[in-house]
Amino acid sequence: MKALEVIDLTKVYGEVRALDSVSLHVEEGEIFGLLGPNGAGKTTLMEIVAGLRTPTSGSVRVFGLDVLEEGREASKLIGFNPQETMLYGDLTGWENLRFVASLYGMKEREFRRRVEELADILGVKDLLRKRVSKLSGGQRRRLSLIASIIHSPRLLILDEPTVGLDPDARRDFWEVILRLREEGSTILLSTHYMEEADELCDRVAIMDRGRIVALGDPEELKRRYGGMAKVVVYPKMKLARRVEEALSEMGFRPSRLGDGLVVEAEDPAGLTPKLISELSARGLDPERVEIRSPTLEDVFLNLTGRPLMEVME
Amino acid sequence: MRLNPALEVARKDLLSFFRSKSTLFWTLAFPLMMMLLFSSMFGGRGAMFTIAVVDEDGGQISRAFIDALNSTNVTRLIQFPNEAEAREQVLEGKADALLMISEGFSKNLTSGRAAKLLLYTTEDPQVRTAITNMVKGFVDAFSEEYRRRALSELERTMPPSIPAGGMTLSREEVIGFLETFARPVKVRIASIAKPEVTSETAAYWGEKGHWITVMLAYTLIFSGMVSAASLLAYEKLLGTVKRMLTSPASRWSLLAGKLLGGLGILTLSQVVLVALTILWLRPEVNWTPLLIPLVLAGDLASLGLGFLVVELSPNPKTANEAVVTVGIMVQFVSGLYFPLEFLPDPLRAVAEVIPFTWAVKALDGLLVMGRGLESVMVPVTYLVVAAVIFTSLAVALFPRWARVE
Ligand SMILES: Nc1ncnc2c1ncn2[C@@H]1O[C@H](COP(=O)(O)OP(=O)(O)OP(=O)(O)O)[C@@H](O)[C@H]1O
Ligand SMILES: [Mg+2]
Repeated sequence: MKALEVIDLTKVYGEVRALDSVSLHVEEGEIFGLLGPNGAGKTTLMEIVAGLRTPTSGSVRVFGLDVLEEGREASKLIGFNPQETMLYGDLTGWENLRFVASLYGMKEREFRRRVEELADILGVKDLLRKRVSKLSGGQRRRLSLIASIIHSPRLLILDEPTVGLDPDARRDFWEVILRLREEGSTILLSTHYMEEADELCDRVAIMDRGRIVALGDPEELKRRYGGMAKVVVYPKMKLARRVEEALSEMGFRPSRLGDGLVVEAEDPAGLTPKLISELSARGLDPERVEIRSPTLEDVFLNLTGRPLMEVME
Repeated sequence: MRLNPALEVARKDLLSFFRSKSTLFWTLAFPLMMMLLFSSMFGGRGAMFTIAVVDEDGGQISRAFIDALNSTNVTRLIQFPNEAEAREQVLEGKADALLMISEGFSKNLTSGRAAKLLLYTTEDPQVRTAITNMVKGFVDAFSEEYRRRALSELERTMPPSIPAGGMTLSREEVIGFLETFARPVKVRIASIAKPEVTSETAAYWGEKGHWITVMLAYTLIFSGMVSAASLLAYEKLLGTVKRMLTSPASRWSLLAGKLLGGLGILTLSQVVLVALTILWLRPEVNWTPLLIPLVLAGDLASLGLGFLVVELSPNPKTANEAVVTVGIMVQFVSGLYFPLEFLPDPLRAVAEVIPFTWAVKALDGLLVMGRGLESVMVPVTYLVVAAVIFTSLAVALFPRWARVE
């Protein structure tokens, strides 16, 4: 059974089409990513699925249940972790979680068992007795995640779960997400970090201005839309002009990327040693040379004509 | 045991409430400070009356009389140069009585004749009786003292025996005879017509029982509205309303939890405030079970109104500001801090349709004046009706408020 089916979903706010005929489905057990810049419509889509907003048109099914018609039943299957952490600062972690558990009508015993288990996985056991206002941003995110999965939802919706975390904490978080998938959850997550979509997600929908511009397995997307691989030559600063001229003479059309000069290549592994020897022959030994395979960033750039990161300031 | 969403909403709201310093300040510390400050300023030693005094005599004895009356602490005397001005004060309710010391007061006393005082009081029977008794008691004591001094002076200066007609009277005989004359100072009582100045006027700050009313009513007017507003508004500010709405818990159970939590907060505050008032002031009030429906209806009315204001406000910040403004205005016109008579007429007309004004009146009626069911029937009914209307409107608008779009 499909965990999530979104069919022809449109949401209009005045002049803004936050979602414009979006269709996608998520298989059970999948980690599905929504990748897009600010304002792409990620939150709008997720909050419609979670039953917080009503669409202008279109339909959404969660494990076969229509979220508009059978919202209450559907809500039992969904765990929604919003973009903000949404916890009560003057209550302890434990008290926050107990409150959320009551919203799902959990039994006291079951709640205790589940908190133990999840606190263990997320490494927050010692934090449960502290007031949330005394916790760090990362600790709050963990607690917020527990609150979203306390009732063992089958579909977990995570809206930018790692925003604001340092790289180490982000990796820890990815591990938790993978572990939840192993335990049977289906995960829909949004992000504007392309590495997150790339490393974590089985499939990704790349969104821009309310539309899905590409959808598929990240490797396949990169292959199809990522363009050629690139070799980046970093010349010594004083030689930059001459290196650029030399590359043009060799028949390339170098473009600048920061301090580097980018050359597209079908066979980067073969090209790289050739480039280096030709440049040294002219006395223009580069500082270093890098090979860059296409990224989801390139996919976004090629499909929309705009860089993913720049839009996000 | 399944965890019940309504009960858990109430429970967590109570926990948050008692952990937040600012809410504790406004609901508990502030009214207590007010009570301690004002009751010691005005009321600590029992009822206090203001008397406008006109000293037409201006003699030595009249001045001694005024000083003595002033030193009793039961009254506050304000002297006026003429009767017209003093009378004005009483008519405006700024003084409870007018005491006239007519010309010749000192001279009459020193020449052995009776001296007269004129006391005008308001028509209100309670104020009138209290002031009359107080002034008469004081005048008696003053007369007694004066007579004692006059006689001892006589005893000192009189020759041991005095020839009178055919016989001779000894000094003791003369003094014994003079002692049978009573009261050198006589008081005549009259009244000034001003029916609106009721017993409540005198009661306001001095009457300790009124402080129980203040504590209950402050909570059910101000704390009720303000905590209702924050109970809803903070869920939106924190975004926690999203957790509630993505869960299968019904909106009704959430609102029921909010109402329950609000009632819990108000009831606990009221119990604490009343208990501390009793400990501090030891007022003699008339406890009756009728207070329970009255206070509950008041609590519900203000919670309902608070919820309603939030639901009608565009955002949580405006909601809080609106509720604080309305809460302070209602407090001041409700008769909590001064009698309604002090308000200008248009404001007074407004005050009289506000249900909380009726709550204050009914609370004073039960607690201070010892009235029974019949007298509070109307205010209680009005308050219950208001509570039902506000709460149902709040309930009806709740789903609209709860939407996050
Ligand atoms: N309640 C609303 N009223 C009006 N416009 C809205 C509302 N919510 C979202 N929008 C608009 O819809 C578009 C999509 O917003 P959305 O929040 O879904 O984007 P997002 O992809 O989650 O962005 P971000 O990365 O910043 O979280 C934006 O243009 C936004 O301004
Ligand atoms: Mg978003």
